[in-house]
Amino acid sequence: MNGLANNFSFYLIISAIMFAFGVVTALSRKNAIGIFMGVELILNAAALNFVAVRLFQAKAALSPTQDGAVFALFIIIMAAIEAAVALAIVLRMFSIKRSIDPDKMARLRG
Amino acid sequence: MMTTNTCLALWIPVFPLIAYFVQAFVGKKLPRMGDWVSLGAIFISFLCATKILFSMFANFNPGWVESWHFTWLDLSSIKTPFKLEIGVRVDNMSAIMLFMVTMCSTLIHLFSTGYMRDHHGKPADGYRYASFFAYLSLFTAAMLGLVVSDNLFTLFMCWELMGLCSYLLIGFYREKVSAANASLKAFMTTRVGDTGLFLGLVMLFALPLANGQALGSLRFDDIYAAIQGGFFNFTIGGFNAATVIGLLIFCGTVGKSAQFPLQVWLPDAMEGPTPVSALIHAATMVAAGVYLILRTFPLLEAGGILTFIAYVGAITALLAAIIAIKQNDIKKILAYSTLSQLGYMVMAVGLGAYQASFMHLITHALFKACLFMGSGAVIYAMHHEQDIRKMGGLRKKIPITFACMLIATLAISGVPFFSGFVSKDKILVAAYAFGVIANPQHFFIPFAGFLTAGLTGFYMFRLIFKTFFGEPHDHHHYEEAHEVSFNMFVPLVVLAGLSFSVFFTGSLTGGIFGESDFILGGANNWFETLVTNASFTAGHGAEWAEHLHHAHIPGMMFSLLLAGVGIAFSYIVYGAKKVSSDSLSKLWPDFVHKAIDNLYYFDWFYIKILIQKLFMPFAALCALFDDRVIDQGAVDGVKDVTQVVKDVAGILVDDVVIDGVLVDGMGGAVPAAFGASLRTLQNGRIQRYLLVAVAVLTVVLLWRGL
Amino acid sequence: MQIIDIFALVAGLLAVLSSSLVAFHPNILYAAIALTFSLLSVAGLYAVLGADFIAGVQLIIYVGGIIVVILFAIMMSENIYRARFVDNAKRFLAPLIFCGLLFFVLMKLISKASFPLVQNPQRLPISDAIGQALTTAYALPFEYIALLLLAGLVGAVIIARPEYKETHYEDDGASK
Repeated sequence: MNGLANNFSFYLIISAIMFAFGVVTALSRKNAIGIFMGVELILNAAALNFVAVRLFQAKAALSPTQDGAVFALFIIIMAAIEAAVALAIVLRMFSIKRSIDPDKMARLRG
Repeated sequence: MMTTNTCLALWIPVFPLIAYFVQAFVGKKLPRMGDWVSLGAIFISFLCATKILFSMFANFNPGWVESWHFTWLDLSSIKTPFKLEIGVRVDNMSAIMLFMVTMCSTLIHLFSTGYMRDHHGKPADGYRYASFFAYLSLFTAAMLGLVVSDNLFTLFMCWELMGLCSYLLIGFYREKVSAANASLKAFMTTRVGDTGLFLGLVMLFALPLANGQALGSLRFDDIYAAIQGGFFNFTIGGFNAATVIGLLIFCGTVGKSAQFPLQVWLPDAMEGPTPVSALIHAATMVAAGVYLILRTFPLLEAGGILTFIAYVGAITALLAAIIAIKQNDIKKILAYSTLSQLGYMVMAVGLGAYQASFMHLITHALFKACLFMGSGAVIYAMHHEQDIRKMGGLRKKIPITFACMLIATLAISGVPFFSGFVSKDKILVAAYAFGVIANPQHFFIPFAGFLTAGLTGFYMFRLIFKTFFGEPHDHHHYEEAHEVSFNMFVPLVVLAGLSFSVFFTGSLTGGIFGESDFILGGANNWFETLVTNASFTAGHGAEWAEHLHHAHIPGMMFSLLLAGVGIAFSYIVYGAKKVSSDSLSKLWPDFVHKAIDNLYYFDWFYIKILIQKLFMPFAALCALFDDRVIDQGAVDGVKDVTQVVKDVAGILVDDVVIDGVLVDGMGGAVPAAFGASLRTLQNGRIQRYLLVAVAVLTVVLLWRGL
Repeated sequence: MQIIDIFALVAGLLAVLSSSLVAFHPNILYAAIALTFSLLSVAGLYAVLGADFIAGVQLIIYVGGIIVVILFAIMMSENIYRARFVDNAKRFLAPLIFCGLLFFVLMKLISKASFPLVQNPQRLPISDAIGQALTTAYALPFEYIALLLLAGLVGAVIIARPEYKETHYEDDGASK
């Protein structure tokens, strides 16, 4: 082994685990903020994946634009926007329903 | 190989058949109720028959045969032949018969147009006048079909059809109970004979012959060939095949030609209108029985039952004549005389003198039809009075009828110069040759024959004297009596005109003075020559001709003697009234009178013993079986089974399967189960949506990715 | 085993552990703290991967911004003190099944995948390259995301705004 830090699979596994945990969180938390936290985990896992690929890709010499890092950057910016909007929704939800239980927001308008 | 004659022969029965259909369906609506339809059709057939007769004379050959046949049904397999070939056969016998039947039928149709109307010319029975002619046409079609057929199958078909028509026609006045009963009696009695005939035909067709193969055909030619080939030398149940089959076929004749013991229906059949009696019971239907045994003569000969047949005929002739003496109804007298003459014909066949039988058939048809129609004219003139004791002195009132009936009576009595003499003489000569010269042990046959001849003269002239001579006994009817219209006496005249011997032998005196006495040169004794079929008399050789020659003179003398005695005696008793008939009847003991009056107790035996004591219980047993076993067992059983099936099907299928499973299940539980679970897919819970998305993604990746 | 490896291992373990806490801890506040540590460890991993700039951005925006907002929102919702510890474990059943499957699938993919890889990559400073990329190749997405940021902010403000009663002008007689 070339050491753990140079093992591509290591990063992939970490990101896969985080991704799985993020999905579990998003699906099972009975709290709107909890769902949001799960989504954050998912995004992080994906960004980690991107950055890892950026480092290990063999075509770096051909494209010196650091695609993976830029992607990760964009993901982070997107997460920030999303956080703002999501938490605005949560505040709204709270002011209407006095609760942030996603199950309570299940009434479909018909 | 259809020649003109066979083509005509094919069409001759068809014209009356078409007339039947037309008449039956639209007859009522035609002008004059369509009697001209039937009359026209039969007249056309008569013209065709005339053409065929001319062909016969042109050919003048005893072996002249023109036939045409086609295969109607062919179900043969390798081993068993089964071909039903039917067709027409024109030979001397059928040509003469066709001519006679069509002519008599035409004349009787003409007669009926007058007889079946009342004295003002309106049809007597309203719309049934049309159906009368329909039935007449159908009957004629059947009779003609029988005559032209070249095989026993179509002969039998027409036989049965004639039986039906006689039922319809005898029972024409169906409101009369006696007429309805008489028609049934006629049908049933002939049916008994027909059963035997059918059995005989089946045996003939299907039984394997001496060569191992079944005959497989009912054509006369095939039958004759088989007999000549000796194929009938096998036994059925110990009896010679030809004997058994011949006896069965003779059963048909016994029924249809009213021979002893099935003669009971013919007198009752007089309930029908007089033209019916003339056509059916004088000229045609009863003659069909004789025609049958004439056609199957080789078979009867091979079976050796000819003597038996002769006895049956002789007995019938004698017994009928005895009854006729005591009858008072004009038609009943004629009926019994028909019975008697039929006995003569059958007897002649039994004696082997089939030519004589056939000649007597023809001559009898002509003069008997004339007699019946004459009696019809008398009845019509006397406003439907039929009892001769109430008549008298009519010769001044209805002279033409009188003249014709006198001629016909002279013919039937066997007076020389008339046709009946020729044929009866031949029969009696044959009887004499058979019963006196050849086989003296059978002397009963000639004895019966000659005695009947005398009796015939006696009772026929009794009829003439009581009807036309003497003082009228019923003045009222006598005053009103008048000659009939022309369409009724024309047939009488024609038939009476044909009752002379000249037509049948070419000699005015009928060969009374030996064979050299022939006035018309050339075609003398033509009838006998033409009808002789060489293959028929295989059994009769030169010996028989010798006997005939010897019997000729004595036989003729005896017949003349007895005829003369009979007529003279009749004159004494009824004409000049020198001897009273009462004193004559007192000569005989009481039981004789009783026997005759009760018709030898035949009816009593058939009805009281056979039917009531034998058949009715059996019929009741069958009815019981039908009711218990079949109706209650099978039919009701089916009902019960159906009930069970209904319960099973109804409850199980309907309630459980259909209602329970399909309706409640499909409509209720299944949607409930699925719906409840499927409904949660869209419950507004986003986590559920996400879960579904993840699940789908996983499944897709699993399925596709790996 | 160099120090970078140890560092990577620690960061990795911390990330996994924290994620599990985020997923499974009943108390939402604890979950938020765990999320903080998870994001921190991811930043560390970015550093190990040589994306120094990204690590910095992660720390500033994610940990410093988003976590703060999350905590803020948690505090503002009253449920925190009526924390429902009564969440039944059954809610994990279906998610765990499918996530397990998903993880399994991902592992399979990873093991099967064959990327053309560099064995001993060089970790070069990245800021310069990112700056260049953002202004040349990724200029358009950069502008897009700026616009999106604006839209998001505006939208968040609108959603979170309290209700206004509609003002009725009494002298408005015209039909609406």
